[in-house]
Amino acid sequence: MDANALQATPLSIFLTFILVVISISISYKEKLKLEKDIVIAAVRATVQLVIVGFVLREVFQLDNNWVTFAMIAVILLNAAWNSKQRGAAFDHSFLISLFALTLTTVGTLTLLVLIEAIKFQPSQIVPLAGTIAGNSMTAIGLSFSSLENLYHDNQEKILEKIALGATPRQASQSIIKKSISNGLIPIIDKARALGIVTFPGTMNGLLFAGVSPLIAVAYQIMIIFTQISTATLSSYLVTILSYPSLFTDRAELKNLPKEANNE
Amino acid sequence: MTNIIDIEHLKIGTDSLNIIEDFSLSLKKGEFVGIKGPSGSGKSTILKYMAQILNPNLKVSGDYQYQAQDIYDYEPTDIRKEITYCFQSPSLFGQTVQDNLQFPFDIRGEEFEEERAKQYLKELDLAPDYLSKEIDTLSGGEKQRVALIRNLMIQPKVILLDEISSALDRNTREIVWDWLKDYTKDTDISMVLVTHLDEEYEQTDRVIEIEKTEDLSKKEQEEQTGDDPEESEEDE
Repeated sequence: MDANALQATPLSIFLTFILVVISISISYKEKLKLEKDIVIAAVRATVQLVIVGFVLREVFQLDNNWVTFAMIAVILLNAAWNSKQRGAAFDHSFLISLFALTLTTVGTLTLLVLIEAIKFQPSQIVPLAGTIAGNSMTAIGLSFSSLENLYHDNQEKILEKIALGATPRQASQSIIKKSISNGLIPIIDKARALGIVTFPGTMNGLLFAGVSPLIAVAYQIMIIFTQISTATLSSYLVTILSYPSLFTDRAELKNLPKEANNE
Repeated sequence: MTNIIDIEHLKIGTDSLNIIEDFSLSLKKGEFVGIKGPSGSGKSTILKYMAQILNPNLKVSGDYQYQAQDIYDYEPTDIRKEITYCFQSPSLFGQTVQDNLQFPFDIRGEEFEEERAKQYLKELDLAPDYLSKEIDTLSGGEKQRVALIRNLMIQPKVILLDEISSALDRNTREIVWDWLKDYTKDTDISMVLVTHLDEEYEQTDRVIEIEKTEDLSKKEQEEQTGDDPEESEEDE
């Protein structure tokens, strides 16, 4: 299939909107009260994607390194801002998220460029940066939520361990492990269903563009490997850097503000 | 006999609430002291401060010397290993009794003394095979005894007992007290006791009486200190 043969015309987009209308009618009929949320989600996605489409077109045409770096920075800042919402109970959650996202995204992109799996050109770097950062963002958000909820649910047990002379790290060990593993659930589920249930974005994109399925699969394998490692590293970094803010300098457990709980 | 703990003019509270006002205690090595007072007088708060596990939201002033040195000169984790606080309503963690009894060894990087754990369980009327028991299957009294063993698996210098027999029947209470006497016999371990049972104060060398400083309800005190009422209000 030739990429030029793709026919995503305004009319075809409008016609697929009928599917959204079906969702709205189900919500209305079953009194789910989700009509407004569905409309907002559809409009928001459309507006965001249209803007991104125009921005990417300009960025790809410019083919300037600094503009590419700026695009990566925007992706990372946005992802860190989104992750921060889940980490309200922890000090410096934005900076911790940004650090984890930057390290994993830039590290992975550098590796892929060095092994010549991709070229340093905006049409390859920018979408991949989004894929990697988005994956890390999910892992970070889940780790933040788990960490906070686990501290809420286990305050007495942590206090017992502290009273026995445990350091904050020793008292938090089981929670740290659980929080990191919770951050990895989506990527592990995704890897499990890959090719059997789901055809992920990178592979779809390459197939749409007419690339051989075997090459598309090879790229997807690389992407899933990088996603597993970036999710693990992101969850680990965020958990390890966040939990100390729940303790005082005298290794006392602080009271978590109840309103900070995400769940 | 030298003092292991010297507390002078201790004051604990929040901006708007005094929980403890001018409390002093000199605890000698090997001495057993009881702290007695009405509900809400802050007895548990004193013990938690002694163990350095007080709610960090509370404001504290006064002088606290441990082994003739300011308490803040020590690493808090080292202090807590030497001054052990036994909770009124202890929480067990992990899956089994062994997870709990092994924890004090794990945090010190030492090998678990399984035989001694079994011996303590037996002495406290819990069969040695309790080591592999799931903690969810234990009764309140069994949990209390496992928690006590957990605190004392590695010998501390000061034991702070906060209503430890509240979940125990009379017979088990006697077993626990006999065991504690045996445990501290021929040692210079000091103990401080808070209890609602007057007969338990008879075990001590002396009793310090404290007064309630402010007439605040349990709920109000919890709101202002952020403390768990079960732990901070020992007499209810």
